[in-house]
Parts: sequence; structure tokens; C-alpha cells
Amino acid sequence: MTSSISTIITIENPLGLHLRRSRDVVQVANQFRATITAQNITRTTTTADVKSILQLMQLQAHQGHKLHFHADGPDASEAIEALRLLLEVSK
Amino acid sequence: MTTKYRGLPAASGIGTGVVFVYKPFEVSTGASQRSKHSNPWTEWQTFLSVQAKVDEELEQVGQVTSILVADILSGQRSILHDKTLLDAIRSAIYRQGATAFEATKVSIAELVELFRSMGDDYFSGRATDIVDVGQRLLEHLASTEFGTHQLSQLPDSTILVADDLTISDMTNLALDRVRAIALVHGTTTSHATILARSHNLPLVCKLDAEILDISPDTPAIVDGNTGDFLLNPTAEEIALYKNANLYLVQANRSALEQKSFPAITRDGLHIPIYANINNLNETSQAFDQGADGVGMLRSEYFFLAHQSPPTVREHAEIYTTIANTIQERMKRRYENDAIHTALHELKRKNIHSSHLQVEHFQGNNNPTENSQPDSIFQILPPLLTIRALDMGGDKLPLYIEQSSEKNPFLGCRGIRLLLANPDLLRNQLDAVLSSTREGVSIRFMLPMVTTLDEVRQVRKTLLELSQLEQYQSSMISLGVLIEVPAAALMAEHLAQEVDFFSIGTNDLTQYVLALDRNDTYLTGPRDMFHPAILQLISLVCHTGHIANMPVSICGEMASNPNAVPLLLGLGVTELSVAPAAIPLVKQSIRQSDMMSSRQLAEQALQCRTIHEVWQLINPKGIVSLRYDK
Repeated sequence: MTSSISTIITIENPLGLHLRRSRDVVQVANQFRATITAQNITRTTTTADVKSILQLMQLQAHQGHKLHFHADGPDASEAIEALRLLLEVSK
Repeated sequence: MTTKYRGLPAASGIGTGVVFVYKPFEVSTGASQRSKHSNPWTEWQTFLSVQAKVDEELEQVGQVTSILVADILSGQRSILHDKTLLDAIRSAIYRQGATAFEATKVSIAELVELFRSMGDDYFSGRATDIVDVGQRLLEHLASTEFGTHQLSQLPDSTILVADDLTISDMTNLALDRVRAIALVHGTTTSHATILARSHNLPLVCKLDAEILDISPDTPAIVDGNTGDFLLNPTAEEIALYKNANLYLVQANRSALEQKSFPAITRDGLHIPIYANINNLNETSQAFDQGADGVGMLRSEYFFLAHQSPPTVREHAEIYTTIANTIQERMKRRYENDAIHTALHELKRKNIHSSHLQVEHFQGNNNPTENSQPDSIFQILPPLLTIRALDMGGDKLPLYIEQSSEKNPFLGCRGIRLLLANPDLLRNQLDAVLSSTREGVSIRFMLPMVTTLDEVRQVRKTLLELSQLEQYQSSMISLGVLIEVPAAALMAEHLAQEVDFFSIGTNDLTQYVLALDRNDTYLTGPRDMFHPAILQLISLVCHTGHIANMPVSICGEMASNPNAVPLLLGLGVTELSVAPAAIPLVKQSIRQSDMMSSRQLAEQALQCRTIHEVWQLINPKGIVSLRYDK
């Protein structure tokens, strides 16, 4: 069953989506079949494919920025939950 | 007219030759000059195979580097596999008929431009990482396309001038043609520098960027001992350097010939020279260079990329393998007749090695009629010193809770981090105890110790583990790495509770002088010769001497042959250096005697500035090796 989910996640990591954290996010995202996109609504950016580190870093997301995530696919809700766990922890 | 530049001396030695300026392939969006019609499928396969090579390269480098660099490299590997990048390259190959080289060049350049145009400093700065990945790919693709790498085809007697060199540049280098390297960037600890040292290539870094505009074939001299880079030297200068170089070469030759022999001062004090190592490979390299044992195994290097804390078994496997190598290599050395004889001579003359009386050596619990090899092992017991996992600050393995310290070098690192994560310490100690065996002394060394309580807590865990039945007969020495000024000042009290001291002069310098050691603009290669550092070394040696315990130096300072007599004079009983430095350090000891070393140290302790100390230990200026008149 395909589902589609949208949600807003605030980045809590002090360094934001820097190189290393982006790498982790991409690694997590790639474990899911769903297509996952994100947009930084704090500084209004284009929409990025969360499975691409080069696109993700274009969101230029720092701590406190709000990102609008959208996932589409059979494991969409699991994917969003996994990302939320990763991003909403302040370490 | 000679033009003289001054940079940071990074790898010692003197090189004379002609300039070749290396410019790596630039990533640019410019029109293609070499587009050729070829089979897109073949081009794509070429790209994939090069991508795999670069991936392997980044992985390998990541295993032997600092946590900080390993993190960057792991980020770069994500870029290398990024779908946006791959889609762009693939589409350029299939849709526009570009070669793998052209497709990569253009795709990387477009991404770099995009990143550079972003407003945020941190994120636009990541363009550097994309450029790095791109250059690695392009170098490999170019060598696939043109058959060779530009660095593998250099003119004879090349003085290689470049902005910076990557690992793959260094591995492609035509070593028989290069005499020395001069870089605009790079540091004394960068990959290029470390590799240059291992190839005995003089290297100077942090030179003015205008050296990149030097015309090819200009005569030049690189002095890796002082940091000087001379263009169009006069005949006189050439002669001067040639002379100096001759001394260096001669000293080097005899140093290499005698590298496996013990290092004994003229007046008969034996100073063991140990190696600092980071991985299994370096264990063998160390013994190839004549190491008398391992003075510092940086144990954390094995576990940086791990997802979970190292298990007792993972630790133990490494220590057992290294201890086996040490035992086997030392045994093999004693089977060499000449060395055997030398060691017997040593024993016959009753030459003293200051720490033998106190070191626990498990092989001599039952002094029987000494069979010869055993008695020799007593002169120089094979040694393995394991530094406790030394991690911390903002760069941590994934399995340690991240903290956001503002000043990680003053934060939870070294022993502080281990005591905050007691299982990490316990597992490591457990493994260390399990790898003890007859015939190899094992020392366990604690980094960043600041208070006596820290030592006591470790001692407590050690005692608890020692109660276990399997460890009843396991014996290890516990020691402190003196790198926090407080530890140096409290050495007298620490000495009551530990078995040895090792002075980590790199960190000690950073903490005493309040200088970030990674700040290449604030720091200089001579900082460690600040009189304040010498005072502290003297203090630690003095207390170590009273407590009859070994005191070693395991920082960069110990690998400078000119500093060796000073260190001996200050009272250091052992040195631990990078494998490549061992032959010259041993040589320097053979040329020293304790009487004049002590006088030198006394004079040095009176010095008021770094410059005065430097003048004292380098009286001959450019020749940075002592030699007999």
C-alpha cells in the first residue's frame, strides 16, 4: 500500500545539516523505498531529494531551521519517523 | 640574484634541482577540447571503475588519519556516490556523447559553481569537498585516458612545486626523479608530508603562492630542515648546500647501516628507541627501521570508523597480533650475529639502561642460568606500549554521545572521556590483560591525565580485573602521558602511583603556550623549544629519576636529531618516534655523551627565548644534523 506523508521537522543538531550529519541523513533515507524530498521553509529553498547529499546540503540548514519533508511510497511513514529521530535530537 | 622564500620545514633533508610546477586538472565548465565520439557504455564503465578506485582510496586514507579528516573523507565518499552527481555524469555521457573525463569535469564544475554561489559560508565552503572528489576522479580518468599521470613523467632532478598534493598524487609520483617538494598549502602533518618523510623527500610547506608562477626549469634548492626555498641560487650557495647535503647523506648512510643496533652514548648509556605506530603495517615498518619496541600504539585509530564500541575481542586481536610481531621481529634481530655480539658486548661491559631495574619483565621472574637469548632480552625487553583510546572533543566515533563543546581541546577527551564511559576503559583493559604473554612487556598509557584521581580510578579497574582468575599472572605497567601542564607540575605525586612517564610534547606545547596546534598561522615548528617546555620536561625527568622510573618523550620533538642531546641532558631515558625517524635518532645518540648533553641542557634551561634555545641546539645553521668535525 502506497502512502504519502508530509511533515515539518526542526533541526536540533547544533551544527545543522553539515557534511557529516547530511551523510547520516542520506544513509538513513536510502534504506527506504519511499521517495523523500525536503524544503527548508526557514530560508525558502528549492526542493531537495533527501537521498542526495549534494541536494540536501543545498538546503543550507542550520540548527533551529524548519524543514518540510514529504515522503511517498510503501514505507513513507517509517522513513519520516527515522528521519525525525535523527534530526530532532540535539546532538 | 637568488630569490629566497621561507616556509615551514615539514620533511627534513636538502634537495637541489630544477622547478616543475604541478597544476592538477582544473574542474571547469569550459568547452571540451578532447571530446571524442566513443561508446557511451564503455565511457560509463570507465567512470564506474574509476569511481570504485577513488572510493577505495578514500577509505584507505580514512583508516590512517585523524578523526577530523576521517570524517571529512567519509563525507566525500558520500559525495562520490551521490545520485545527483552520478545522474549528471551519466546524462553527459549518454545524451551529449562526452567522454568520462569531460562528463566528470563539467558535472563537478557545475556543482562547484552552484555551491560557491550559496549564501551560507559553511555550505558554500563545501565546494572544496566537491573539488577534492572531482580532482581525484579526474586524475584517475586522465591516467586511464592518456595512459599516464602527469606526476609519473617528470624531468630528472625535479623540485616539485604545487599548491598541495593529495594521496593519489603522492602515489603516482616518479620518486626517482624528484629531489624535493615545495608547497603553498599543506602542513607538517598532512598526508603529503607524512608520505614525503617515508620516502626521504625533503618538503617545505606554507610557501608564498607566487611560487606557482615560477617558470619551469628554474634552478632551486629546498631545505627541509630550515624551511628555506631558494630560486636561482648562486654558485656559492649551491656549494654550501651540497656540502651540507653530503654530510646529511653520509650521516644518513651510516645511520641506516646501524639502525638495528642498540643506541648507546659515547659514555655507555643505552637509550632504547621505540616507535609510535597507528596500525598493523607500521609495526613491521618500525622494526624495519630498527625500532627497539613500540613506545606508543595509538589504539583509537583502529576503531574510528566503527558503528559500535570496540569489543574486548576486537581490542585483543589487535594487541595480540602486534605483540606477536614484536616478539618475532626482536627474536629475529637477536639471531643476527653482529647484533648478537654487540648486545653481548653491552652486557659484558655492564652498560646500564636506566629503566631496567624497575621495568616488570615477565620473562625474568625465575632467573635461571641465562641462556644467551634470554639474557639479551633482559637488556632490551621487547616492549608494547598501548595508549588508552584517545578520543574526544567535537570529533567522536558514532558510538559516543555527541556533545557540543565550545572548546573541545579543553573538553572531554582522553582519560576524561574514558572515565565518563567506563565500559570503554574496562573493555580495553580487559583486552590488554588478555594479550600479555611471556617475553613482551606491556605498558598501558593514559592520555590527558590532569589529576591523581583519574589515575586512581583506572588503577581500581585494573585491580578489579586482575582479580579474575585468567589474569592472575598477567602483569602490565600503568603510566601517564604527560601532556597537561598540571600533570607535569604534579609529577612528583603521580610518580608515587604509576610505573612510567611519557611526555607528549605536541599537546604539552599546545597547552603550555595556549596555542591551538591545528592553527597553522599561530604555530611554528620551533614552539616546542620554548624554554617553558624545557623547564617542564626537566621537572618531569627529575621526579622520574628520583622514583627510578622510565621517562620517555613521544612527541615530534624526539624525532629531531638535533634535539636528542638536549633531551638526554634533561634526563629523558627513552625516546619514541615515527618509524622513519629511528635511524637518525639512534645515530644522534651514538654521537652524544652524557657529560656534554647535561651541560647543553643546563645552558638551555637558562635560555630566555625560543630563538636562544634554537641557536644553542643548531649552532651550525643549515646543517641540522650533528656530525664529527
